[in-house]
Amino acid sequence: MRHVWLVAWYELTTILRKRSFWIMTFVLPFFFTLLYGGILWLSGQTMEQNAPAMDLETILTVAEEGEVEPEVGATAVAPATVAAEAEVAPTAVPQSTVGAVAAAPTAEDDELGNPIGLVDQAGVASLLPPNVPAEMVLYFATEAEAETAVRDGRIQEFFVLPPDLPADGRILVVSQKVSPFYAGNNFLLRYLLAYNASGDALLTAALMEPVDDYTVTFSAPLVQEEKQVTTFLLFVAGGLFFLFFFIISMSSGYMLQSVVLEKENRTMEILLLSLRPQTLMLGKLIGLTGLALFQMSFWFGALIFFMVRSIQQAQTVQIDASLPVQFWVGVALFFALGYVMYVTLVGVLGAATPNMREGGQFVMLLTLPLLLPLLAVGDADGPWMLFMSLFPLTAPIAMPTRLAYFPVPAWQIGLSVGLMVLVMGISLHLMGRFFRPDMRWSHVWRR
Amino acid sequence: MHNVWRVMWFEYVTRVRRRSFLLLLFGVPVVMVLFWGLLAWLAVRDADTRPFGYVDEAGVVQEQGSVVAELMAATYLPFATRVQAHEALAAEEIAGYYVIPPDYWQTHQIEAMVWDEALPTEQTILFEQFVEQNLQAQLSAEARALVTDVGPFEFRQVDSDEVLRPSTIQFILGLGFVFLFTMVIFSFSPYLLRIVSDEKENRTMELMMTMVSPEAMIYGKLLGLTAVFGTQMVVWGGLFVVVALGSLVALQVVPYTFLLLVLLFGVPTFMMLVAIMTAIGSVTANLEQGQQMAGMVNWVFTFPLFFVLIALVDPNNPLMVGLTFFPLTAFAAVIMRWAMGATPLWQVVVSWLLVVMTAVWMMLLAVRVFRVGMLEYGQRLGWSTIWRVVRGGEK
Repeated sequence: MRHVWLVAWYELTTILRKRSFWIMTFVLPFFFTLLYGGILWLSGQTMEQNAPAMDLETILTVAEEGEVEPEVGATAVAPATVAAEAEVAPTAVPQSTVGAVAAAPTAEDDELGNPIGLVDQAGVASLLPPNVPAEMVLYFATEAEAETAVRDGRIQEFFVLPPDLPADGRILVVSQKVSPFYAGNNFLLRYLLAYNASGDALLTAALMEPVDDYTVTFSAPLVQEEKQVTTFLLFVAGGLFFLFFFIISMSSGYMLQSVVLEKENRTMEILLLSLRPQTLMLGKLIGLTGLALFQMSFWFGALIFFMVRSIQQAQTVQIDASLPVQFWVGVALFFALGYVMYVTLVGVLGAATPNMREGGQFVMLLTLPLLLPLLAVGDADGPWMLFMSLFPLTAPIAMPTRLAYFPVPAWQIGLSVGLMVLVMGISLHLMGRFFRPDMRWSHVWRR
Repeated sequence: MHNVWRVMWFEYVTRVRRRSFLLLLFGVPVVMVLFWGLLAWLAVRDADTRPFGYVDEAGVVQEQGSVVAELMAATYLPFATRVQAHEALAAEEIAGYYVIPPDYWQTHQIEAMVWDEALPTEQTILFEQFVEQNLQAQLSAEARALVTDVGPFEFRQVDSDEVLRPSTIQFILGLGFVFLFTMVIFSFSPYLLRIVSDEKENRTMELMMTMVSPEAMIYGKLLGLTAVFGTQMVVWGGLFVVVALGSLVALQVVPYTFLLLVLLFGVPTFMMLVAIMTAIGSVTANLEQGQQMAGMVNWVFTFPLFFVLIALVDPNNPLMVGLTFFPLTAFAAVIMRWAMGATPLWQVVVSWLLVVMTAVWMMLLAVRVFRVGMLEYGQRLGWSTIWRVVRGGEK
């Protein structure tokens, strides 16, 4: 046992002395936080500078909620110099919608951006919807006048609606900055055209957003609750997968590096003169687990701290900790066992692969089965999920997911734990045979 | 030149003949196919072919004159009341039904009733189209044209006569390529890093240097490793590339400008990557240190991807222009801005010249660093030594 602690201590102190470990643990998270913060800030600034006159949410919210009685004709803003009056007449407007239109936000509202210009040569956008303030859409007779307005900063961009617009749908957008795939004001223009086509604010809003959301109800007896649980389970399984995958990826890197380097520089042969392979492996496992726990506790501690603060500030989310006790016990048990099992398997890979790069690729293949339980979450009490909760490589994700759903029989938990321990035992046994610097896969197979 | 080919051939054959390489080469596609096959099987197994019904309490669906109703009659069965629809659901005649409630005009909310299976996303999209087309059916043909036939949008900058016609294919192709480039950079760098580290670590480098020049050694290994990587890419992505290019040819939208940009910028960018990785492999004492430095370099090459939102909103933003002129980020920035449809030609030309000059300089520098690295064998080169090499003072 003394040798185990010696190896663990050596692993721990060797890595703790590396500058790269401390950089990785403390500096890198702050660097990336700063980097992403900077990127978000820059992106936010750019979005603000190029904000549309009215965004989709503002238009539709006001259009749907407003209850102001319309004054026919009062909302129509005649274009300054456009000769042609709109000829398009709405048809078959449903009775239920007539009479209910929206209130316009004022120009001082935060939701409003820079106004847009219109050169309406087709005369198809002469009516302004009641919820669009007149100062947000400026009409111009010619492109030249509109260009002057862009240069003066009165508008950000303007649209040219050609005389044959309904036949030829092409619309020219002229702006100070060209951004063809952003086109934030296109929605407002489409809304204007749809309103002129329908003449009704509510029908126009529905045309722009036929379905906002679906409310789904399950009719089968007792299914409603189960389906809600299934959706919840998908989050549970997904969360467990990402957490476990991240921890395994980080820890396996240390393990692989430790084993492969000692193999490559041939110190392994000397070490194995005075140590049993199992002792060596156990020592590495304890040392590296300690390191991983330290690193993870810092990262996740910081993450949880920031998340809790964000939630407290937002004051909108309530954390529902209604998961059964057996779930948390299961998570602790299967995470711990799964972690040790996977790191041991990575150790076997490290012992059997000739170099770090190939070892890394095999680790990726080894962790792929962890994804499989996500596919069967919809059938958490089915045979496929049962199999995966017993199969050692998928059990760390599948068993806690099932435990979140219903009480799993004790014999299944026992069998799953037993199989994982068995895999660990076989791995430790095999590792001793694989520790040879010139090991090839053919040797591995023969042994 | 003969030595270059010999080194290349040795490098390629040694790596490709490894069983572990072959296992990965064919194992990854097999695993991926099995994974996606399993997903597809689950989707087919759970598919429900029964129609859906609807109850229209808001007067949205037009019974007369609607093209939609004729097209979708088989998919959506009308029910007068919720009770009737629910009876059909309980009798398993329909997979579910939608209710368009009276307050639909204010909320745009739709109620969906199913038995015990989840509502498929594609089904909700289809019903949204059904509602949309019924709303449009309330307009006259002329008015409907104003809602449905508007576009495409064309773009022009003030004081410019050039009219831009954005292409969705261009957008997808460009952004898709930048993501692919990121993956290639991160997966190919480890290969490049080993360009000299293997021989340095197993101490055969001195022996090789007695027979081949540093230039022949580096160029030969570079070609060999590129061939190894190419083999992996052809097997993994060959089918996908053939299908993608074939589709573009079939659609008669072969993006010649895109191919030209990739060729013009791709080759010197690749040369820069090789030069930097060779230099890192030469100055670091072991592979671990090299990997850490290489990781940082990889981030720089793919840095423009972080600013995809800025490129989308304002492709000519000073930041994007700056990234276009910085040689290490130029390739990704140029392709991203090309995807957004707005890059002045002069900027592309200046950027390309900068990239080419930097690539040539870096290749020469890499060979110089490699020579010095050989002289300082087994030790990490100090920053002062590297700086002297960069300035050309170290012979």
